[in-house]
Amino acid sequence: MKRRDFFKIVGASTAAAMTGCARSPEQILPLVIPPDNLVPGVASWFSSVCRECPAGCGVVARNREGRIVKLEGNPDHPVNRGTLCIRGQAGLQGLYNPDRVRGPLRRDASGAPKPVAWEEAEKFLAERLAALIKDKQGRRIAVLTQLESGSLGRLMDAWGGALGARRRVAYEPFNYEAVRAASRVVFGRDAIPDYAFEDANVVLSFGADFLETWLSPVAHARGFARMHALAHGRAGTSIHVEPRLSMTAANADEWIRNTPGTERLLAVALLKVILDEGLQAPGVDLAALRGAIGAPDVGAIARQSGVPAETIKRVARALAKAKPGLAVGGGVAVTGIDAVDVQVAIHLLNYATGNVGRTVRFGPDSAFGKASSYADVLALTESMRRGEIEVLLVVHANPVFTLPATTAFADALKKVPLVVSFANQPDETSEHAHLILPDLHPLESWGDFSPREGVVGLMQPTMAPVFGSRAVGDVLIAVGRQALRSAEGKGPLRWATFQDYLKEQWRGIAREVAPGTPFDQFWEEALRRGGVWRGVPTVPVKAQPVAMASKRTATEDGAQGPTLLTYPSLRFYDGRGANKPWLQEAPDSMTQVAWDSWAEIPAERARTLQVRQGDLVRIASPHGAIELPAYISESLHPDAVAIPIGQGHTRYGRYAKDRGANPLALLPQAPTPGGLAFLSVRLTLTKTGGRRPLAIPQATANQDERELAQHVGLTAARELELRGAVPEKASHPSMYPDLKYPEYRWGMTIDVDSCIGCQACVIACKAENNVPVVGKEQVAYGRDMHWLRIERWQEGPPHHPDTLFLPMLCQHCEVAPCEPVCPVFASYHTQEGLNAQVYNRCVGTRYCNNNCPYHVRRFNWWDYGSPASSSYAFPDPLPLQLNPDVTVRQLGVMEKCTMCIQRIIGGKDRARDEGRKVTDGDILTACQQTCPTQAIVFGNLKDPSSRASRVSRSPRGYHVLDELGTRPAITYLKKVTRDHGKT
Amino acid sequence: MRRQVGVGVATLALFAAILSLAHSAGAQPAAPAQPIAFSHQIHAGQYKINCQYCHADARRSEYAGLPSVSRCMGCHKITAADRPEIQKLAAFFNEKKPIPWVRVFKVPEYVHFPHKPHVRAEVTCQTCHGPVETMAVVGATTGQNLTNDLLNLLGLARSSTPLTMGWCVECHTTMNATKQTKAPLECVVCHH
Repeated sequence: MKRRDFFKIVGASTAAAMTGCARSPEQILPLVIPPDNLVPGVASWFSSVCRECPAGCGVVARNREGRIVKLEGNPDHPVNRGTLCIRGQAGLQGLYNPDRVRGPLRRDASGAPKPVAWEEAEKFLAERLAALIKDKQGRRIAVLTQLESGSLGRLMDAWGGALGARRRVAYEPFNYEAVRAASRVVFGRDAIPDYAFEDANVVLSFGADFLETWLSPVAHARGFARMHALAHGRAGTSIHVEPRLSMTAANADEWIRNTPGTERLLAVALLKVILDEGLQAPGVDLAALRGAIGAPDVGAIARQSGVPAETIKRVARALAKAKPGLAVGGGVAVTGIDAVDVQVAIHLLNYATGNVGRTVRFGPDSAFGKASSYADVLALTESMRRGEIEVLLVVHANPVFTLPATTAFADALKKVPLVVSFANQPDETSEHAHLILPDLHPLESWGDFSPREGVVGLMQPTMAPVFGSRAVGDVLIAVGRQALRSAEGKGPLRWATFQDYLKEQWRGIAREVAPGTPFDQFWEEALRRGGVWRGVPTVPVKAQPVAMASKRTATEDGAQGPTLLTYPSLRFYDGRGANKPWLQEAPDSMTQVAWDSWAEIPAERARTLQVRQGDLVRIASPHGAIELPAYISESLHPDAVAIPIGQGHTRYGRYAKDRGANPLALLPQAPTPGGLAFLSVRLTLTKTGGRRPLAIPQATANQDERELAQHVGLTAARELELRGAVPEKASHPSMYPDLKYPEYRWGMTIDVDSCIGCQACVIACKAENNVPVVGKEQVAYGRDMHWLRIERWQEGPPHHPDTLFLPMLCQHCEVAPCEPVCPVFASYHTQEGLNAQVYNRCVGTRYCNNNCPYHVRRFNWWDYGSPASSSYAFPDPLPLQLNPDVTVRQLGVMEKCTMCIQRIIGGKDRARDEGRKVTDGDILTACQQTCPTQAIVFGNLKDPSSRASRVSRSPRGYHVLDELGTRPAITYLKKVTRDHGKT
Repeated sequence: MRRQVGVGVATLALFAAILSLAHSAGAQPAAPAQPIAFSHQIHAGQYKINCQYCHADARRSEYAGLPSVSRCMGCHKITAADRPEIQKLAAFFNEKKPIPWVRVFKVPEYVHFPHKPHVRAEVTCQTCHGPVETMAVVGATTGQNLTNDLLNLLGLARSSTPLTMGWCVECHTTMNATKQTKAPLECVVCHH
């Protein structure tokens, strides 16, 4: 019996068991033939690749009874080393999205999509293709895909070649082609290099949101944390230049707020200072550098950019003396018309300070360098408009949403007689498709993806398909063969399935990587490990003489008004995350807005416009206009308006509907050398008079001297570390006897210095613990159910604050205020130090919630768990994601963080099987497991040598609201602030 | 005086009611009709087949597991293949369909009962499931119900194990006191 059949049967039996709850009698269905090594009730793990963005992190999927209930990072994968970001964690809601396309659809003359059989749909497409091939019109076939750097991409190219189709366009809305273009100009290498944040001592970022979406955010976050953490008296420094206080900017030691579009000038000024002061690395070609930058006037640049000349000099010195430092740039938000020049200047900065080859590595090049350029996409659009395309296949791309409206891609689609979409979620592009052939979700598919040279992640079906989807590779092979009238095993598309093609490709990899190993063994090992990876040597590059076209400015000539800063959302990326309710409900890290989109408007401008928060504002550029509620910001540059990309969907399922507007409607379509210029328009704002209040769970950023999130200066922290001084433990008198912990005492440490506020833990917790999604209205009431939230606190001047991120969850207090007030003992203390909540005992008085000083208890105001309820939070097939180890709570019940009690029980069970006690690593809570910076450590505080114990004795350790005498089991470590830039 | 007689009559009536209830419901626990007349008496009683030969997941998993149809057929391809009930089994196997067994033992959904640690602690299956090896048809009246409560009140032997929380806790406490086991008594071990 094949594994797939097992999943089918078990899936069916689970479904029967679930619907059977209300029915009597209940049935239990045994397997007909059991698969090897799979035991119902015991999780199996399958490795795959996360495809929520092209970073290509490795994942392992936890399979229980044939369905995936949790995603975790693959600990062996070199990109993410076991951790995942917020979007990766939410990947499951793509798999189980209730709006998924359930089978092939064909639009009839009336325009309504009608279900068709797969055979019929494939035959229909094959006949159209065959007719074109017969007339030698293969050029009229076009394929538009997302970036596919593995076998699927190669198969599609082979398919296109066999049919004589046009070259495939691998479209990524954020393709960072300016970096690639600059690499060509400066180093003569057409690639996006690998950036080693962990090896740098100073990181200087020009608007690159490397902790959010830029290139490979999980890998960068880990590198950043290692670079930035205080260890053995050393700590790196991070400097961020951006007009907006992005999450990455908030994590920098120094945020430099520049005038929008002045990044190139600043980079050139830095180069000038470095050369003038002779700070360049030895062996640098000075003449070439001087020739490239010309003779910029640092004073004038300081005035233009709003960054004082002293700051420019100080940053230049810091970067040059870092040895090595690292300069990165070109987040989408700062991609102006002069983007390539910005990147050239940044490459030169790295070259001048000797970072190339050390922290900027060509060789292990990023897969982003293989994406098609924006100009290629426009060329295809133009061909479509001219009627040159007869059949267009769209595979996992949503250009109608992600291209500026001015490209009129939707109109061009209407000129194509047959548009075939392989989307498995309905989207704006599939809305125009005549034929929808839903592809499998990546977690149901065979495949591979190479995020950078030397790393190939392997994907395998981690469960049987949820719906009647078919792998795009299988469909293409079948359709292509029918069109070419060739038989299986012959001709250019001889493979029976995509899986066969994949294996054939991997035979090639095996010969290269592991010659001598039998292929079956290699294949099995690769499946288990999640791919193959090997070191790729850094290729030495030499800077070429460069002439910078410094005449170009970032924004359109002659325009007036504030500049539009539109940036990829941490939660939605290019918009593909917007159909996932977990991501909608997780508040934005900086603004704290949930379930909506907004326009961040500087406070001064808002005052002039007489706009309050939540007032609808019409935002117009020469290219379009949108309406969005205002979010008033003190910190945004007065000359900018910032709008996140990702919301404003019209056809992307129920969760993405009516959530603001798409700012890409404001952009021009004109291609620039650096691709689409996101930072190029200036805006006119008008108050409309309408209101749409925003749902903001944490409305204030002011701690009111409560010292929830604490910090300590670097010098002081160093001193504490040297002395090894342990902070005095508060000894508050208690009327209760001291608690005894017979075996374990569970506790946790959270390093505020490492927490970057990315919220991956929030979603990991939601996924692990069956936490329901409540919707915008309830969030606005403060009834969101997050067991774990990231508090964002700010100190200092409002226009230039220092930000502290504080993960807040149940503190599992030793003297817990919630426990004595519970009239039914639903809240009580366990012998292992956990503050427990017994759902079936809870009667919902909410006394515990009122008495909790940390506000971490969550009440079920509505019945989220029963299908008959109007507030049911899990429409089909979302219940398949529910963790069977955790109860789904009912109406009127209090709930909160359990420190993943189910994982504690599981870890203890495994240890007992082996006849030993639990040690470090046996139990990882969901939040700890996914944290890209490893800020969270869980463990046994009773064992003085456990990691949690050791970290909790750190001289930076403190308890939140210690003065209340609650004696929390969670120790926070103070953030280490730098004096950098504060003098 | 009259009132006292009244109370006495009422008590007697209640007692009688309990006894009749116990007789009607308690003595014959709800035994649902199964798709195949499978007898534990024959398998576990007469032939002394180990419980875990068929319920093989009990030592590995939260669930005890039902034998796969192929496991049944492992013996019944030959053994008693001519009997009508076995032919029903063969039909399920040949059609590759699972047998729709009707569930007998169930704890509420907010309770996590893992079989594995109980097997590891050498608790016999009969402790919770009753003398299954003597039952031709397995039935049980579990949970909080009037019959169980009243029988308990009167100190009468219960027809089947009630699988109620008090009953679980009682066993855990007794075992910890008498056999020095470490059976957990934390609420959240089962309720999470």
